[in-house]
Amino acid sequence: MTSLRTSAAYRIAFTYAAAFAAAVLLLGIAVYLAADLEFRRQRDQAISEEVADLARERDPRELEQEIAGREATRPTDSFGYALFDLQGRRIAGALDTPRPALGFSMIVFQDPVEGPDAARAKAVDLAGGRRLVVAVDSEAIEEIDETILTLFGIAFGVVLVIGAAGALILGRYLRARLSAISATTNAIIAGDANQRVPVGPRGDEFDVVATGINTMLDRIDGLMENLRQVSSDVAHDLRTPLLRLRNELEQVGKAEGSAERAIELGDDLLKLFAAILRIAEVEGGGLEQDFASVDLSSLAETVCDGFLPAVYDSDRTLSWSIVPSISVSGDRELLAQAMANLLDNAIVHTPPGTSIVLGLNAVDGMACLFVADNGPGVSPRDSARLTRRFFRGEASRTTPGNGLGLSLVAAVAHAHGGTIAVDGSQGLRVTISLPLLQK
Amino acid sequence: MRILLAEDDAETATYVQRGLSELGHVVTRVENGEDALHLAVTETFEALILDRMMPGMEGLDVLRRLRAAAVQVPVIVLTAKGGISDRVSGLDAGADDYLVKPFALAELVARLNALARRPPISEVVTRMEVGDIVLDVLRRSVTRAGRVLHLQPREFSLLEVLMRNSGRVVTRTMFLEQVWGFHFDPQTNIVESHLSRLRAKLRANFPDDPIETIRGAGYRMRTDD
Repeated sequence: MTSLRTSAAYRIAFTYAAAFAAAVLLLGIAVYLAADLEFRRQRDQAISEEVADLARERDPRELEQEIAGREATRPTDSFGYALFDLQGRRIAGALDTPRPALGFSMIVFQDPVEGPDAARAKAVDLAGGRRLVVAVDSEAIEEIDETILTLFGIAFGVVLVIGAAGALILGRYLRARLSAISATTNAIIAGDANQRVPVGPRGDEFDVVATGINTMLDRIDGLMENLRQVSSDVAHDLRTPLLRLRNELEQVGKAEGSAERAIELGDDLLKLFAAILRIAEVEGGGLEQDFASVDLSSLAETVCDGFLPAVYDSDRTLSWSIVPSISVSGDRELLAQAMANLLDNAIVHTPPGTSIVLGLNAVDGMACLFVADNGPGVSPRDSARLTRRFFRGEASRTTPGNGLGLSLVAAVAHAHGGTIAVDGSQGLRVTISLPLLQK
Repeated sequence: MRILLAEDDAETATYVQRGLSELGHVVTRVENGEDALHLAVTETFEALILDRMMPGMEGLDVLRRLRAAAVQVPVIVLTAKGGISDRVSGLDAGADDYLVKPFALAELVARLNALARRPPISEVVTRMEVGDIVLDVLRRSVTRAGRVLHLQPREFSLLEVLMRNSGRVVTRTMFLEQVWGFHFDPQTNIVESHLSRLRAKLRANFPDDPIETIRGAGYRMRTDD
């Protein structure tokens, strides 16, 4: 039973049931009081009408006969009559009671069967000091009141039983749904990071929460995986350039130009760290607050124009087809760097004579920017891993670069709410899709 | 040149001070923001190198107070933060240039020289003459010894930057920033390709190349003097 008291689910369910029962109780009391009042009012009205009817009879003898007649013809449960003279003696009517005060009052009369009994009476004075009394037995209203109370009592009991049962069922249901979530989180805390919250088919609030938690867990998983991969890759991939730097330093003073080469190697290492930090910054999020409208078309134009002579000097060709006036919300610097990285890759990882194409168009509310080449492409296995940090295909082990270029492109695309797609089947084609600026 | 260097990291400060002193500059070194502000207001310097992160008053606060006090000395902000938004906040605070640590001394020197002799904004130069080369910014025309040269827009911008800094070194990152507005250095050396085309056009039918390559630093427009 402690679980019943500490459980929020049961507390909510029982509180609701209790509130409902209280409302039913209030309603019952109100109905009972209103009905009782109305019955009493109607009874008093009936008495008044009867009194008025009889009082119209002026002649004393006629009145006595009328009373006797009514007593004879009416059923016993109806009115009782009494007519008193000036001295308070009952001169007509069967109602056995002392002379009551004027107006409405509660009286006690001698019922021939039940003995003393309570009744509601009205007394009026007639000519000649006579007093006419008409009374109705209270029993009828009391019986109705009792019936109402009994019915209501039964109904209230049923409400209590249904409410308690409903609360138990609802509480159990809520607890079951919630414990499915907490069981998953407990399993994850215990170390099983692959657990996911079961999502029902209805898409209700619990399913929305469950889906949200699962998405969050996937994201955390991705970040953790990234972290694991990066820390081991950093250690692994930094050893090579550091070793080369060390060897170069060993040559200082012995070989011509080794100091300059050592500085260059040091600069390359710094660039590598700058690239790692930049990716971390972009992936860390929170850049949106500095986002502004960027004319992607003119930026792509600027980048292509900037790369054209260098691409030409490397014995490759660069052409572009850019749909004008495509704007996105973003960071100009990062978007330019993403494009530059794609072009850098297309130059470095293809043989001379390769044609490189940059395209920009708008499809389904997305700005689609692609850089494609007709070089050797990459295997499907490698295309999936191309955006991973430090990943370098077998063919590019000897080319310059640090394996971070596409990671940054992917990070930039994601930071702008976009996606990246890599297709290495015919040459390499990398497409980034970014949501268009809503005007 | 009299330079105020505000940098709390002793190693960086010594490195910068030694490098600048070797080039004949007089460097006054302070290690916190309060001293930097005090000296910058009371003495005259031709340039100020301000570290962003200092004990006491932060570099950007020093800068804001200096600008509020109408001290117009050129300021280069040094920072270990290479963040995207950091540069904007630095320039917003009134910095003339921004350099992310670690940096090459040659880069700092080139930027310092470019800043220190920059003409006030009120004097917008629209026509420049270096040797026999004349560049008209408004008509976007370039002539060498009276002969009209047909330059691509980027080549024109590169030449404009070089001529504004004639006799002084312009680094690759300075070109990237001023011609393309890029604050990153692509793996592909796009500056060199453009410059070699510019140089070919300037050199055609002339015996000499008015632009020289300074190894490990950048490029420089030769002046006659």
